[in-house]
Amino acid sequence: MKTQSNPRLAPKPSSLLKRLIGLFLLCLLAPFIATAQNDAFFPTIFEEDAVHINLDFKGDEVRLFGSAPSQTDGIVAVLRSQETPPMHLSRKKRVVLFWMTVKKFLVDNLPGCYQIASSDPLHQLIKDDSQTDSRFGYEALRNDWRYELESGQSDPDDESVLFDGLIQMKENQGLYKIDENGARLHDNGLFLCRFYLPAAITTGQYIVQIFALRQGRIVGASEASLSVEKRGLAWALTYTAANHSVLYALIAVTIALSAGVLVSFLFKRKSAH
Amino acid sequence: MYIYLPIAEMSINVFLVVGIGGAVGFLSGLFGVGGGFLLTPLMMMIGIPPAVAAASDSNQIVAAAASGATAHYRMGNVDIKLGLVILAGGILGGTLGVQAVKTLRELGNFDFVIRAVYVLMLGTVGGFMFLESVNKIRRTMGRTPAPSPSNVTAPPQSPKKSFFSRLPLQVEFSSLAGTTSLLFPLGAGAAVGFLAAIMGVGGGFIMVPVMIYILGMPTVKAIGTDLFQIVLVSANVTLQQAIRNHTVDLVLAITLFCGSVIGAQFGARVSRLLKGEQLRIFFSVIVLAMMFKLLIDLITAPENVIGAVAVSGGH
Repeated sequence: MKTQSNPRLAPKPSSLLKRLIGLFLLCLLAPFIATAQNDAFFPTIFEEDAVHINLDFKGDEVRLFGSAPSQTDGIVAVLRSQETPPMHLSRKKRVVLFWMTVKKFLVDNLPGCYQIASSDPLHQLIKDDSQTDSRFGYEALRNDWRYELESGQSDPDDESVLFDGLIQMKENQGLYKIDENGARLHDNGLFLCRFYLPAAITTGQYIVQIFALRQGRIVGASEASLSVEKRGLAWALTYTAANHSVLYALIAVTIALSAGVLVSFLFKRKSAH
Repeated sequence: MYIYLPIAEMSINVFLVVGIGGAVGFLSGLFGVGGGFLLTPLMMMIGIPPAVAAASDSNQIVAAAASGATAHYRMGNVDIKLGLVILAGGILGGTLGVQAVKTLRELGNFDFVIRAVYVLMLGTVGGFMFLESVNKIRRTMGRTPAPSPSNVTAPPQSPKKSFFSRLPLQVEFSSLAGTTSLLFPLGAGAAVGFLAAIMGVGGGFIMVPVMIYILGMPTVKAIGTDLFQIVLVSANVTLQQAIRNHTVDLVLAITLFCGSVIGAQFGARVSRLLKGEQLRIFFSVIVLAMMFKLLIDLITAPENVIGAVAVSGGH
């Protein structure tokens, strides 16, 4: 399992203690809640419920742990951003000798981030392939996404080429990932899932759905949420750029002009000595 | 060492960005170009979203060009009056060019045509400058073995000059021999502005050859004057991008110009040590290298045929 420890993520002892107590209480209540809902409930909790982006942010690992129903033999956790921002994409094709952009698309209803962490390969955990495709993995996204041709002529293979190319783009950015070794399930039912949020992660709410599996069938599901927020100077600059754009623009030009002229004079003094 | 770019929403290696800024700043000070035609593609190659790359490059170009222009101004290489006239022409041509692009895009897929024209123009300008400078050096070596330290090489005389000397609105410019019609630099600025808008770049790499070969300016004066007008153009673009599109990443721009303002100083100093034709040879090599890169991009299969829609820009 690929894990990257990050000291920044280490929670404060008091915070972790509170979360562990919370998880313990949830474990005690779990059987009663399960009976009430007539469905397997299991408690899960994020180590930290928010990821803060400062100017030194270069991606973070987030960990989620919980207690699965008894006799669970596999865990699948699906993290996705709630935001589904529209994207403008282009497709290149070879025309005579040259590769050129021949059409443009508007893509909608795909999560900005989609990651899966499972305790074993998905096709081993779930026997029914159709269920795997409809619930987990990139194929599950195919059911929801929408695209429209903005310019150029449509081709029969547009959908598959666009979808596959988009997934490749997102994987290269680290935003889409299927880690079939990203979750660890212990004999006593406790499990740990790890997700790596890359530097390209956008702010907003993220939801993780966790599925407990037994002999290829889903026997329980749970959900947890996480927020990604900008803090400090990263937040101040984003806020000013969006809400006080004239001030931001003037600051940007003034700093650039001053830096250029200042360095020129510094070099003049240096060369004069 | 990484730093997070709040507008681009990604983190990036500080030393890599400072290094790229330094290299492009050096070229800016040396050749009098903004360097956007190199910097914007380089930023996109390291993963900066195209819109943020183009806008933030404009901001860093303000710094690099101000640094280079101030250095050239002290050396007496900036003709402010001529720079302002060319700038006025550039704004006029640029406005017409933007409208032309809009109309042509509505007619169909124009992106490939733009790229092809770009390659053709880089090849023509680079090839012509390279051959002209090599011939000049050959002639100089054949005639006078003792090299002159002067970098203010007499410009190649323009055959059109006598035509413009008969037109109205005659004005004297310190960097041009005698008087010339105001329409001459204004028209040259407008033509470059139009082409630059069509190709989505600032046009420094076309403007410098135009100043040398068509207006007949000495090479270093063309460089200094072009840098002066680039400061004003880039400052305007930065203001527009920040106010309208919110795509200027101040952290990226500051990181870039940490390298570029220093690089521009070294570039301006090196330009003093070289003769005009030597400068033109180096410049033409850079332009030709860029042309080959674009040509290779056009003929080799991309790793992924699907990509984010690029926003062109630069100076």
